[in-house]
Amino acid sequence: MAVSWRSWLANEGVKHLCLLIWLSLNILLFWKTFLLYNQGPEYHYIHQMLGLGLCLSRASASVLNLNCSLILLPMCRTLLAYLRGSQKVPSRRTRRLLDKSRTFHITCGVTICIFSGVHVAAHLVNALNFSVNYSEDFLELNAARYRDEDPRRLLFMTVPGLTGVCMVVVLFLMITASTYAIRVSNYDIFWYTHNLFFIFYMLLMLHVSGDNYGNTTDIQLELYFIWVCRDIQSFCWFADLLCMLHNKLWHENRPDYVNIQLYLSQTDGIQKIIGEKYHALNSRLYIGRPRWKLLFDEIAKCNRGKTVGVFCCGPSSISKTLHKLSNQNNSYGTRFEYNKESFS
Amino acid sequence: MGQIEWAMWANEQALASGLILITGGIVATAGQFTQWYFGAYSIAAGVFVCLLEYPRGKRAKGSTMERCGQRYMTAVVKLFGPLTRNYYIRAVLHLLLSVPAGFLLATILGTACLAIASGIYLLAAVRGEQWTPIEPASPREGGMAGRAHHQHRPSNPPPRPPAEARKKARATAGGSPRAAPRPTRVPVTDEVV
Repeated sequence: MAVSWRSWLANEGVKHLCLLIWLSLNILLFWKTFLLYNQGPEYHYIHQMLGLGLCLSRASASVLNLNCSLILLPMCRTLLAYLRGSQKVPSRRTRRLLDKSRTFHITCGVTICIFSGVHVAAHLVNALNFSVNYSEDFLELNAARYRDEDPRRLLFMTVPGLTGVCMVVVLFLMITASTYAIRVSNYDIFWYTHNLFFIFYMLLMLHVSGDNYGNTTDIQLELYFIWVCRDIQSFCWFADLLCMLHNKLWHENRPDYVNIQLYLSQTDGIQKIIGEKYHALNSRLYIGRPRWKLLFDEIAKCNRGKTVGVFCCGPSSISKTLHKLSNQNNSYGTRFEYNKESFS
Repeated sequence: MGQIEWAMWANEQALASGLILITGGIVATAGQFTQWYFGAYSIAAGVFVCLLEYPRGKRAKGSTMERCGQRYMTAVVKLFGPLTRNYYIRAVLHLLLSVPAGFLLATILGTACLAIASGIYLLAAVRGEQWTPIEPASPREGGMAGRAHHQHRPSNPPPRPPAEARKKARATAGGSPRAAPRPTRVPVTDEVV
């Protein structure tokens, strides 16, 4: 028999609308978090280490967050009874919607199950990747302490790992006792295990507090190394070290990490740093004194709103200039913190 | 608490654990992690556990809901007699099956869940429960052995509305009031949710 659209709308419309809103919220949250960890610059290095596992674990975590917040609301029976009985909910349509509270609770529960599965799988892969991709350069980022560290140690000896395992066990007990067959035959088992939700939430609070995936704002520094000398020979003191540093960064695909600028303050004739192996330094050699104001403006433009540390080692004339420039205002909102040391 | 049939819950847990083992095993073998053969074992163990646990045992009291199409596996599981009837054996079997999967990170959750199921089966065995196959329904009940809760027809009529409402009904009806509603001939099925 054909469905009357008016009856359908009256009976199913609002319910489906609410479901659609809830579904859209979940999809939006998942997508946004996924993109944040996939593309956000502050997560660049940890993304290199963990790849898809990071994005999936974080995206599923945010969906889990939403559903764990919502799932208790339909079970606030006193509140529902109050809403139903009062004048606050006048329409029959809304009252009928409240009748669907248990269905919504179950929907959120199933979602929690599915995304817990995704979250756990992604974190297990992450634990393995932390161990395999351990690198000396990213000690603060890596949850592992050495290469090929047993990932089971990561799972059971860290706060998020241990609370996560306990939560999975609690969830397993709750879900297996919530099937229709059990509810019909042994309601007690269902009731008592479902009251474990309290422990689940305690564990959840601990789980999120032990966040060990730091972001990498510290590691994304750029270093501007500006060296002013009177004659060319002075640079040879550290030419080897500078070239070695430059090559190392070049091979690690981080050529912008250190920005080397060498200035020859004596401007008589063009001098080149002798030697083929100092090619990298030759191209960074400037004749004349540095134009500090322009340099500060350029650095401010590239680091809007951030705090830049200025470290000066040299005579007081340079120091005075840099100190003054550090205190000056700039149109990019960048702050310069001035530090000085001198060895003379 | 004395009325709880633990075996039914253990059965649900074991079935879920089997599925978790299969999933973990697939992740381990597909990811080609080291010691991936534990993953292959996990898949095999998971399939075995799922097949063994699929047919639900009969409850001591009341009727039991069959799982869809379980009668085929019931026939197979029945063949093993005491091996599958006894829950002590099942508890030990599940415990042993769960151990190898504990060596691999991807399948360690399957181990934990199956071990818990084994524990609950032990509890059920201690309380004297055992697995009884659900036999196919006799024709008299129309083949719906698991669905209908046959209860005796109630001897009392359903409760009547309060006195004032009855008086009003009598007044508006104008004639002699209806007697208590006639008992129905349709068996009562109560859906407990």
